[in-house]
Amino acid sequence: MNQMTPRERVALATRGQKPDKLPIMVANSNTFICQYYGMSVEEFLTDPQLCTEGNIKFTREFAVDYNLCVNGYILYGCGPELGVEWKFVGDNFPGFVNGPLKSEEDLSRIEVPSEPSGYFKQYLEVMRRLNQAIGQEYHLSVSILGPFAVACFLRGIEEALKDTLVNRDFARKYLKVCTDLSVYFGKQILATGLGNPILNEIFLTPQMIRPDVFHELIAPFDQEVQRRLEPGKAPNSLAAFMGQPHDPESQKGGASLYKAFFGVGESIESIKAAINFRLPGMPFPASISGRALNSWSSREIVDYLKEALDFLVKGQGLYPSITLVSVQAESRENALDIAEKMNAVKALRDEYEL
Amino acid sequence: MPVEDIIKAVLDFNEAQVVDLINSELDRGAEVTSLLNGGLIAAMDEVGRRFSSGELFVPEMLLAAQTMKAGLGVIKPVLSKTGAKPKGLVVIGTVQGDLHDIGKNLVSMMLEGAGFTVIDLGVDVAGETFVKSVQDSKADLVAMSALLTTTMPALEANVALFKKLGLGAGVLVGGAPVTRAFADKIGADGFSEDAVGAVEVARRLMAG
Repeated sequence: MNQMTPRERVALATRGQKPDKLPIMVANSNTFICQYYGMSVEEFLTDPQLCTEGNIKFTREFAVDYNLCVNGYILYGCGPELGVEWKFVGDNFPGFVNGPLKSEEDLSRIEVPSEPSGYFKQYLEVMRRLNQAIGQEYHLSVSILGPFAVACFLRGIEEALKDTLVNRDFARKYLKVCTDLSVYFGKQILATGLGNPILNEIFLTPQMIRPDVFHELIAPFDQEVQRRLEPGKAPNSLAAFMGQPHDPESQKGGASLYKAFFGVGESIESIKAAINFRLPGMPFPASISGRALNSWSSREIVDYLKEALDFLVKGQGLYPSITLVSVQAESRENALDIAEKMNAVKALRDEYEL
Repeated sequence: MPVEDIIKAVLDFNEAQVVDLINSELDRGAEVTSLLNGGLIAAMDEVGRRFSSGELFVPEMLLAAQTMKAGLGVIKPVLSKTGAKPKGLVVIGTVQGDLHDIGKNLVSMMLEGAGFTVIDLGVDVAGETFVKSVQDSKADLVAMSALLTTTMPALEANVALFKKLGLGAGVLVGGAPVTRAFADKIGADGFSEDAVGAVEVARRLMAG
């Protein structure tokens, strides 16, 4: 079979068709890029040239066919310009501290910006450059914050979660505003030319919210975003973790898919439990979690992946992505160790016969 | 029975009713420890059980804990007059460099709900700050969370610091990237995957 581009590889595997080799997917890589390629967090967040170069080098060096890239919550649009407070601690990526939405009176003060600024502007510029440089060759994806994710940054995660049960009228009011913001973020992202963003409700995991609450309260707003961005432009990939409304079996399956995608307790049993469920726009994942990538040896990672791939490919006839969910490093030394493991994964992928 | 009514009020997230019930029972001369143990702690044990079985989710846990705290606000001043001791004293925090708090907050709430007194140091807590708080309060346990693989080394460094200083408090660790193997490797006394398990670990460590 002729060598395919990473984009072709991902497209075929997503459709369940045989690629030349299995795609490698990475869902988060920001601290690794900083430590490995020698840039500060501030440079990653504010220097589009350095950030672009780091993401390109990472994509090429580690053969990341599907790269959910340019990661960092502060970049996604809910920055200080919307009244969201962030805190920088040492040379770490900043953490969310506080949002401006304390009561209904605050809602009228939250407006969709007239043009991008701050960290979101950086995010868009890096996307534009990445797309120009490698977007034809690689499957590049980025996150469009979903309405509930926006709400969590404006309201605070704990308050937003409690509102889903005991303050629904207020929740619906602010989710309407958050939908407008999500549409704005999505339109700006699509205007960069990058073709494969995902609508990302980053705080919604199967434990964080009852699936039927998601379907009743949040899903309609997510669907509104997708309708306004045009159908198919931004798959709500992670909503698959919530199954279908009033369908406990599919919701249980969604929770299994979450475990399989994020590599929660990597095991063939976890994969088997999720085998009948899919994330839209992505191949089925054979995942290694961030914690396994950090704590397992290269041998352990390769042995587990080989077992997973044998089950999925030879046993089930699927073409999964080898998914490294979170590639993180807290020092140069740690980054070199992670790089060695990623190269071992790449070697396994290159040698694995389909 | 009044304690069953307290349990139901917590599960219904009815703060006003929890407060009213506890006040009425105290006025009737009910034993405060029975209201705590049979009412509030039993309610949070039930919340934990239902969360572990997938019947309840994080929003319900947050609301139940908030409701429990309202009841605890009535009970605490009465309890302190009786000389009754809490189940244990725990210092808790997220390690330095890490600003995530929802998991730590859930553990803190569940420990309070289980009858522990909790000193919550918040997020981005330096090792020395944990040490000072444990020493000043004579805490029985110190619970630390790290939500990022990049902040996990702080758990290891803190445990080493505590051992070097002979701190004496039992050490619990947790957080999304933390594993039992890592906890054992760094010499922590206990590990839990979630807030419900953290209560069981704390109880076990207090039992010696």
